[in-house]
Amino acid sequence: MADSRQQVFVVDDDEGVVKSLKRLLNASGFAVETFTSPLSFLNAPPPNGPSCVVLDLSMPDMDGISVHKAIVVRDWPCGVVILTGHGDIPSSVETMKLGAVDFLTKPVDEDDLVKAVQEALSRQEQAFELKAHYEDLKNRFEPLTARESEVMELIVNGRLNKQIAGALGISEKTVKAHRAKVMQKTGSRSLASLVRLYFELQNSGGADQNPPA
Amino acid sequence: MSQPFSYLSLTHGAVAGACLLIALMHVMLLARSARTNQRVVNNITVATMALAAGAATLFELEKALATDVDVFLAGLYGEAISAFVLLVAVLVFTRSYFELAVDSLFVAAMSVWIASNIYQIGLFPESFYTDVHDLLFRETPWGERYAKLDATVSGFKYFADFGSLLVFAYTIKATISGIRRDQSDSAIIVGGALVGFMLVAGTLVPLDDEGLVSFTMPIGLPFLAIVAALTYQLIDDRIQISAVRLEVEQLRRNSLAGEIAAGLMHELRQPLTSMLSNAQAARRFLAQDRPDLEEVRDALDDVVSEDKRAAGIISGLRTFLKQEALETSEFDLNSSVRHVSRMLAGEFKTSGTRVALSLHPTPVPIDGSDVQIEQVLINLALNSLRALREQDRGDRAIRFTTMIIDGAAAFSVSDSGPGIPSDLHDRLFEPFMSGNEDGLGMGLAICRRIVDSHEGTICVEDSELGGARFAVILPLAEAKNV
Repeated sequence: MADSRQQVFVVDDDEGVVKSLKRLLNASGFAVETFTSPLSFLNAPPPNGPSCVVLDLSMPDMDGISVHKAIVVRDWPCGVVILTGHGDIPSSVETMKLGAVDFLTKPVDEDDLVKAVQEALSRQEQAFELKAHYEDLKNRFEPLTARESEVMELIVNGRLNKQIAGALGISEKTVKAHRAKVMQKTGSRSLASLVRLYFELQNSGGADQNPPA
Repeated sequence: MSQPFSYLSLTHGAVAGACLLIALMHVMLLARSARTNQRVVNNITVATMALAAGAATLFELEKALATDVDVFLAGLYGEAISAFVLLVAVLVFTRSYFELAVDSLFVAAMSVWIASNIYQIGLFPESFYTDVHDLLFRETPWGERYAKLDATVSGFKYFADFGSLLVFAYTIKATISGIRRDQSDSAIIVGGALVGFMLVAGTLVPLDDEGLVSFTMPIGLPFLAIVAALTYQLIDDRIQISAVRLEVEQLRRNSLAGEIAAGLMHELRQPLTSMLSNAQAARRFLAQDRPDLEEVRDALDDVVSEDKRAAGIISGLRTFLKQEALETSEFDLNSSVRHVSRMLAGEFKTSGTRVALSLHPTPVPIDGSDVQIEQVLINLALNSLRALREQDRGDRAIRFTTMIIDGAAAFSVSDSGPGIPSDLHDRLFEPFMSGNEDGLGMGLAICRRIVDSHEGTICVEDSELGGARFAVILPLAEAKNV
C-alpha cells in the first residue's frame, strides 16, 4: 500500500467492462482494484484512506444501491460513482440521495468518468481532512479531568480567575494550576487560541458525526 | 287450363333454398370448428334447424298445390316429421348456446314433444284428423288457388300443441337467464329471434287452420328468420373470438420484440462500454511521455475481442429470430467436437480449465448443419465456462463426450461448476431465461431450437464432474435415411 496514487475500486459483474475501466483509470493515473462481484468487494478489507468506487447498478447477486447503502452504513471513506446500463430516474434519484457523486450511463466517456472519480476523491479527501481535524480536537480536550473541564468552560466564557475561584469554591491558586494544565493539554498558547479550539469542537457536534461526504 | 305463374311456388321455393344455403354455411363452419376444437353443437343444431325448416316449407308447398287428399296427407306427414326435428333442434340449441344445465323444464319439453310426436307420426293421419272428408280449395288475394283439408281435427293435436308450448316456454326461460348472465346482446338476438318468430309461427298456423286468413304463408319463413338470426350471432361470436385471438397474438409479438430489443440493448452496452474504455485508455497510454506499447496492444486486443463478442450477440439473436436455411450435409460429430475444443482452447487456458474429450472410437455421422451443431457445442461450453468462473474452488474441468447409443448419436458437455438447481431444469431452455443478469438468456433457447430442427432432444442433468451436464441426442445419419 505504498502506492501514492489515489485508490479507485471498480465493481461490475462483466469482466470485459471491469478490465477496460481498470485500464482506462490506470492510464489516468489512479491505483485501481477490481471486483466482479459486489459481495467480494464488501468482504474485502475496507479502504484505509480516501477512495472512490465505480459501481455498476445492476448486478446479479446484489444491486448497486444495496452496495451503496452498505458503504454508507459502514462509513467507508469511499465516494460512489454509479454506472448504469439504462439511466432510469428512480434509481438515480435514490443513489443521489445516498450521496453518489455522479450517475453515468454506459458506455461512459473517459472525461465524464475521470471527472466524476476526481470529484468523488476530492470530496472524500476534504471529508477525511476535516474528520482528522475534529479527531485531533477531540483528542486535545479528552484528557481534561472533570474539574479542569469546569474551569475551562468558565475560562472560555470570559470569567476571571477570581470569579472562577468564587464560583467553584476553590482558591485562586488552584484555579491557576488547573488553567495551566488546560492550556498545556489542549496545546493552546493563548486564551484566544483555546477559545477558538473550544468553539470549533462545539461546532463539529462532538466530532462523532460523519462529515458531509 | 293454362297454369298462371305460381307465387306460392316461388315464395316457398325461395324460402326452402335460403334454408338450404344457411344449412350449408353451418356445415362449412362446422368443419372449421371441428378443426380448431371449438364447440360444434351450435353449428350442428342450427344446420339441422335450417334443413328441417326448408323441408317443412317444401312439404307445405306440396300440401298447397295438392289436387287430391292422398297427396295432401303425404305433404302433411312430411311436414310433421320436419316440425318434430325442427323443435328438437331448437331445444338442444337453446340449451347449448346459453350453456344451461339440464333442468326439469328442458326434460319436460323434450319428453312431451317427443312423446306427442311419436304418437302423431306413428298413428298418422288418425292422430291429426278423426274424419277426413275432402279437399277444399281457397284462393289467395292474388287469385292463386290452394288446397285445404276438410276434416275434423283430432283432440290429440292439442297434446302436440302443449309440447310445442313447453318448447316455447323453455326458450323464453333460457333467454331470460342468458340476459341476466350478461350475455345480453347475443341473448337478445338469439332469444328474441327464437321467441318472436315461434310466436309468429304459433299464431299463424291456427289462424290459417281456422280459415281466418286467406293465404298460406310458408311455415318455414319464421323459422328461416330464426335461423338467420342465429347464424348472424354465431358468426359474430366467431369474428369476435378471432379478433381477440389476433389481438393477443399481436400483443405477444410486440412484447417479444420489446423484450428482445431491451435485452439486446442491455447486452450490447457491455461490449460497447468495454470497447470505448479500452480505446480511450490506449489513447491515454500513447499520450504519455514514454508510451507503454504493451498496454496499448492489450487494450487493442480487448477492443477486438469485445467487438467479436458484440457481433456474436447479434448473430446469435439472428439465428434465433429466423431459422436460416443452412446447407445440410453428413458430418462427423467427433470432428465437430474437436473443432470446437480447438476454437475455445484459448478460453480454457486463460480460465485454467482442464478439458477432456471422451469421443466414440469411430466417426459419429450426423445429417444436418455442422455450423449449427458447433454453435450448440460452443454455447454449452461457454455456459460451462461462465459457471466455472463463478466458483472460486480450485478444480475447473470440462468434458466433451460423444457416443452412439441404441442407434442414436449423443453428445454431452459436463462441467465441475456449481450445477443448476433442479427446479430450473424445465425452464432453462426458454428464451430470456438467463442465469447471469447481463445475458440475453438466448444461448440455451438457441441450442434447443437448433436441436429441435435436427429432430433431436436436449436435456440437462447433474454431471459426474459435480456440476451440470447438457446432453443432446440426435438421429444418426443412416438411421435418418431409412
